[in-house]
Amino acid sequence: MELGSAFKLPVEATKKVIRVAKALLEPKATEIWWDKEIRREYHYRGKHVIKAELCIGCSLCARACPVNCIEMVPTGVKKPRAVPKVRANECIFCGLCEDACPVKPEKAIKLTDTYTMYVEPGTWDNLAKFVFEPENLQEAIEKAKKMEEMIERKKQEALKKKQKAEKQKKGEE
Amino acid sequence: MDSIAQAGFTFVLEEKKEISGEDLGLLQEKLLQLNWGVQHPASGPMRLKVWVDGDEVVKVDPDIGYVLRLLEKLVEYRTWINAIVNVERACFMDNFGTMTGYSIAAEKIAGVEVPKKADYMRTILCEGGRIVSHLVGLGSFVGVLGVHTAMQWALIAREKFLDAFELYSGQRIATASIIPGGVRFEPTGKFIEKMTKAIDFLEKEFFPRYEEVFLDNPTLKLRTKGVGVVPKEKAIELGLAGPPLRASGVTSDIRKDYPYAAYGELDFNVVTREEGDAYARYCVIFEELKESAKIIRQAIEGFPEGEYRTKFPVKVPPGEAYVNVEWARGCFGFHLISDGGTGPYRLKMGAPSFANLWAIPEMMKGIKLADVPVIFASLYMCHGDIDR
Repeated sequence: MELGSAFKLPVEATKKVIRVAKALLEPKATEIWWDKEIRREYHYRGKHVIKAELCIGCSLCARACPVNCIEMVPTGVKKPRAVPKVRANECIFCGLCEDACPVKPEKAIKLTDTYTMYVEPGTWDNLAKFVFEPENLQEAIEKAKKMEEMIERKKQEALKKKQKAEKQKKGEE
Repeated sequence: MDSIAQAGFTFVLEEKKEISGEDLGLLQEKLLQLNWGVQHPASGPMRLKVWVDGDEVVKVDPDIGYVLRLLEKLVEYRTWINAIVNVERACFMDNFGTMTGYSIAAEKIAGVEVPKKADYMRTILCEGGRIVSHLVGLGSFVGVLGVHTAMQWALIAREKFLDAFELYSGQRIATASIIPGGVRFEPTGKFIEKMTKAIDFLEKEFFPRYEEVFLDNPTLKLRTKGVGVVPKEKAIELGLAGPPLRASGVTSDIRKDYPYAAYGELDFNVVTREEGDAYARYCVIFEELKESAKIIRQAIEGFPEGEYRTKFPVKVPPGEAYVNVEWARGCFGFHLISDGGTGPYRLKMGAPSFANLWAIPEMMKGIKLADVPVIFASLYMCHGDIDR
C-alpha cells in the first residue's frame, strides 16, 4: 500500500506538469485567422481584376451591370476603344459583368478571391475615389499604339508596293 | 399629463368605466396607446400601434414602410437577366424562391424551355433556402420568448448551408444564382458533397437535439399552446399564407398543387396541424425542415446530366405571365408584363408576409399584452417582403 501510494503522487504531479507545459507551448483554442490566406474552393465574388491587354472595349459589362457602376474610360487607341472602370463603392459584387464578357478563353473582367477591401478614413470623398482600374493600362496602350504603327507601316508599304507594281505595269505597256 | 404625452404615450378618451360601483381613475377611464415596435427587440423594422385597456389589447394597427425600397419599380430599369438582383432582395433569407418565380415567369413569356438539370438545381437551391429561412424562424420564435440558445443552435446548422451556397455561387446570402434560362453556375460535385454534409448534420445532430430540448418543452408549451388560435374557416377568411395557414388545417402548398421546377417528380408530404395556435405554427415550421431535407436528398439522387443553362433572348416578345411559387413564408405571386423591350415593363409581387400581417388586427383582439410578441413571431413574417 505504502509503496503504491508513494508511486502514485509523483505520477499525478508529472501529469499536471506535462499538461501545463503543453498549454504554455501549444497553440491556444482561438486561432489567429487574419494573417492566414483563406483559400476559396471554387470561386468567390470579390475584388475585380480588369486586364487591359485582353479587353476589346465592347462595353457589354457596363450594360450588364444592374447598378450602373461600370464606366467605360476612353483610351485614345482604336483597340480597345475604351476600358471599364468599376466604382467599387456602388458595386454589389453580383458578378454579372463577368458573365457578360465575351472574351475567350480568359475573361477581361473577373471577380477574384480578394476580399480585403477597405478605405481609410471612410469619408465620402475617399469612397468616391475607391475604384478598380485596369492593370498595366499604360503598357497596354503603348502596345496598342505600337501595333497601330506597325499596321500603318505595313499598309503604307503595301500601298507603295502596289504603286510600284502599277508603275511597272504602265512602264511595260 | 403633459410629461407623459411627451414621453410618447397618447390617451384616447373613452366612456367612463365603473367597476363594482367604483371609479378606478385615469388608467381605467382611458385607453393607452403603446408603440410596440421599431425599437422593440422582437419587432424588426415595423411598428404596431397597440391600444390597451389595462393589460388587455383592444385594437392593433400595424404601421409599415420603414424598409420600403421600391423593388418593383427598380425592376423596370433593369434588363431581363440582371433584374434578379432586385427580385432576390425581397427577402435575404430565402432568395432562391423569389428568383425562381421571376425566372419561370420570364421564361413563360419568352417561350424558353429550361434543361432538366437546371430544374433539379433550382429545386435543391429552393429547398436549401427554405431550410435556411426556417432555421432562423425557429430560433427567433424561441428568442422572442426569452431563450437565445435555440437561435445559436439554429445558426450553427444554418452556417453549413451558407457555406454550400458560397461554394456554389461565390456569395453566402445575396447569391444571384438563378436567372431566366437556367442557373448561372455549373453545379459541381464539391457543392453536392457540401450540401449532403450539411443535411447530414441537420438530420443527425440538429433534429434530435432540438426536438428533445425545444419542441417537447413543457415551459414552451405552457406559453404558446392556445395562444392566437385561428380556426380553419377563419384562416381562409383572413387570407393567411404559408406555415400559419397549414397550421390551421388547410392543405395548401403550391409545390403540390401546381408543381414547378422538379417538384412534380419528387415525393414529399404537406405538413399540416389542426390546432391553429402559436405552438402548431412552430411545429409546422419544424416538420417542414424534415420534408425539405428529404426533398434535397431525392433531388441529389435523381440529378440528371446535361446543360445547366440555355440562351435567353435579349428582347422578349410582348406578353404577360402570372406565376406562383411556394416560398419559405408562403405563396409568392409574380405578375410580369413585357412590352417587347430589353427589360420587364412591370413586375407586381404578391407577398405572403403582407397577407399574414393584415390578419394581426383580427387575431390580436382581446388578448393579453404579453401575448403580442408571441403571436407576432409565430406568424413568421419578413419585413423586407412586407415593404418590398
